[in-house]
Parts: sequence; C-alpha cells; structure tokens
Amino acid sequence: MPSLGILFYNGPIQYVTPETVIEIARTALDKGYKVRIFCFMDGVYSIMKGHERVPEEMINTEDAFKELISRGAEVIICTLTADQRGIKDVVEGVIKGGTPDLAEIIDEVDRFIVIT
Amino acid sequence: MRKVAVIIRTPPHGKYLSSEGLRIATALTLYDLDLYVIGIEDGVYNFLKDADKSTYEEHLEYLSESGVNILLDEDSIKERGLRKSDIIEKATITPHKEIVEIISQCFTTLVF
Repeated sequence: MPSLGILFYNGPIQYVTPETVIEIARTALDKGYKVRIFCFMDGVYSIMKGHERVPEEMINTEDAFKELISRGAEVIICTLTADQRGIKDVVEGVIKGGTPDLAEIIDEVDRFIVIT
Repeated sequence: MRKVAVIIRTPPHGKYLSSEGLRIATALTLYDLDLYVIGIEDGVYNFLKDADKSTYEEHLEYLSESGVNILLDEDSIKERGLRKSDIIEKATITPHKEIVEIISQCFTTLVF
C-alpha cells in the first residue's frame, strides 16, 4: 500500500490549510493510500473537541478528522504545541506524539508534503 | 539516503515559525537523513550574529554539532545588504544556483 505523509501548522477558521489537508487526505484514502497526518503548532486546533457555529461553507475540521480516522488515517498531534495552547480534549483516535514521530513519518512514507 | 531540507524563510521576530522549524530539524537528526537547513529571503536574519536567538539558540547549537548543513542563500544575503561577517560561523553562504539544485534533489522540503 502506498503511503502519504502530511504536515500542517495553520489553524482552522483563520486558514484554509486544515481543509486542504482534509481534502487531500480524503482523496488519498479513496485511492488506497495509507495516510499519516502530523498536526503542529496552530494546526492542533483542528482536532480539538467543541467546534461550534462553523459556517456551512467551511469544513468542520473536528468532524472531518473523526471521519478520516474512522477510515484508517493516522493522525498525530504534537503534544508540546497542544499543551502550549491549553488543548486537552481532542478527537478520539488521535495519537499524542511529538516531533520524533514526524521524523519517523518522513523516514517511512512514499510521499511527504507540507501544506502551508 | 533521503535528502530533506528544512527551509527557513521567515524572520526570527514577529513569528515563531523559524524557531519551530529549527526544532523540527533537530528531531529529523534522529533518522538517517541527508538533512539541510536552508535560510532564504527574510529567513537569513535568523542566522545573524547579533540576532536575539533565545528561542532557537540551542537548536542551532545541536544542529551544528550534529553536522547538519546550514546553508544561506547568497542572493538573499546580498539583497538585504548583509555581509559574511554578519553571519554566524555555523552557516555557509551558498550561491542561489546551488541552493536550488539541492532543493530539487530533496525527497521533501519543510518550509517555515
């Protein structure tokens, strides 16, 4: 199975970045890729619980990441940057990790992209 | 061996992107990668001798001690009126063409 790694570090609502990550991940899963996503810096807000009043024209990243995980995507949160932002409650199935996990992803996947 | 570049293009003030990028670069040394840290555009300001490096000094030290190539784009240096004497010794001023060549050979690039 081919594999794709993704890093992003911009948060939802302010940037489209997380939505772009979600769309790319959905497409990669559709095409049979193993998808591994690393959420860094403000990107961690995408997977915290409690997103409310998200405009209909935007993707609710909390729901979308739940969907990606249910489809087999591996989603890792950088614990340090999440702690720095006071984020405690994240979507079920998210793996708590750190930058060494990102290094492992880069070392192992077939393709790796950064979405800014 | 996979060639990977962490590209620092933002200055050390106003944003914390560059220091976080350098932190990621230190983690990448855990694996057998051909790792480059490349300063371009305003990113070259991170490597000034006189810059306040309090948020990333230890990362730079570690990267240097680990033998990671720290390259600064010569064009970006010149465009900002900087000189070799302004730059920390750990970094090497490199012609733009060589920087582009290295980036084109990379498995991936991480831009901060």
